[in-house]
Amino acid sequence: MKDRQIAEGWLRPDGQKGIRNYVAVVFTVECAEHVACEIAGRFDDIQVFGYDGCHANEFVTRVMSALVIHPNLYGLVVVSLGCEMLRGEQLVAAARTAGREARHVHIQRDGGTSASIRAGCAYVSDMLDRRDDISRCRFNLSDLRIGTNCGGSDALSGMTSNPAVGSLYDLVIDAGGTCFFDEITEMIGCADMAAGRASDDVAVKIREAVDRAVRIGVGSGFFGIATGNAEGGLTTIEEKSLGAFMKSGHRTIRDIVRVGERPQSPGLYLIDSIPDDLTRGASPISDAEDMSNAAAAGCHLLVFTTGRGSPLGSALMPVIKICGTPETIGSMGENIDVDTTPLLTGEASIEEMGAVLLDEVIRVIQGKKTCAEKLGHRELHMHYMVQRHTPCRC
Amino acid sequence: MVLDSSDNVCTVLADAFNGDMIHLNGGHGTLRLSQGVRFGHKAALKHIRKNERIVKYGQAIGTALCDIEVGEWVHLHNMTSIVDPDFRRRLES
Repeated sequence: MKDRQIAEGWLRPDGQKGIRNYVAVVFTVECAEHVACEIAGRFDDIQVFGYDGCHANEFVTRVMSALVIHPNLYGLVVVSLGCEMLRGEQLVAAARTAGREARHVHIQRDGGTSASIRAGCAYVSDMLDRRDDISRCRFNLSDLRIGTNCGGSDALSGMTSNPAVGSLYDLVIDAGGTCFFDEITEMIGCADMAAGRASDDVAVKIREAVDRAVRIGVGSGFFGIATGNAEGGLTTIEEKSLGAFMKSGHRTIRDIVRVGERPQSPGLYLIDSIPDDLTRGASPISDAEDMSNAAAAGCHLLVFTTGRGSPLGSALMPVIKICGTPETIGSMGENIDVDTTPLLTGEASIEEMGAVLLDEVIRVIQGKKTCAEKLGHRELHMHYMVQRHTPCRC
Repeated sequence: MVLDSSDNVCTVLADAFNGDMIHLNGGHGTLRLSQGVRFGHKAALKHIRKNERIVKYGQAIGTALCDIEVGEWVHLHNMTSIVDPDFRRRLES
């Protein structure tokens, strides 16, 4: 299975392989967002994302620098105002070093809104002309990097879609691929189970991250469980955590990596998305933030489980929506790619549903558009927090 | 649905009413509800004493705030988190 070609990918000059060939417009501060959206809005199928704060720190620069070399990205136009802390020049340099086409629009230097939009449109137009010339390559399951997230969870998520994703993860890892899971705030209550699936060194790091999540939960008064979760039948962060943890499957957790790190060896990784220090500020957590963490890890696509329904997509990855709640399948069917309700009725086993998910993942790699892609969802929330850089050894 | 044989709660997969007899998966027999339980919510499989752990997936998901009878609805009115006991208060405010 490892050597089986499942699709043609786009070969980037730095050796990465993409499953999409995006051109993106990237803003470096809220003041540049309108210009970026105007540029993107004048074309079909252009991604737009960025960071809206004026104050950027090492974390923001590190993660934005990882996002602009995403494997699905052909090229980008960076739109800066000029006086913000996140330097557009630095993002352009990072993208070019990785062989991506990158141009820079600078609103203060280029003469205001209209001139900047015109300049940006010219750059995008050039890139669109050239992006199909890039070489294609074999894309095997062992090339795949996949992320997961759950949003709008209910009591059924942990019994249907989440264990099905766990089974998909086992299949992808056994085929030599790389899988990431996140949401350490939703590992409170199951640190022992996670630590038991890791080497002693990694277990210590996992426990430290979960302890940090508990401290931050106590400090902020928020534990990642919301009113809608309780209405849907979930009671405590422990119950929600155990359900969420099912997404990680059964394989060894190879390491825990900081946001923006891209481990090169295949296997299962946990992304440490918890700030080092809350007293120095952080933006509110959201599902779109967890998804940007997966994109920063270089994930080609993301499987997203939902109970009560979520419409989210991503600017950098196709997002496959999975739901096992019959009411939501009925009310938000257009947002759901895979129905896992056969797990409720006993018509399918978790392993069979994992195989169904793998088939869908392969079709999406081959170019099938997900519901979120068809509906134009391209969210990406770049958040702010303080988290020191610790390079991973994998 | 019962997820682990050590669980003391099950998840109800359709809106159910006081007196309903529900069938449990995996050879766990039947349970008569002594209260209405909404879709996705939990019911007690056994008598749970105050301060006893609520167990689902074979793991503790919280603590009972009072004695809970077999067939009763188990939710935030009679159980609470071990790590985040304030969640109930935040929901009410």
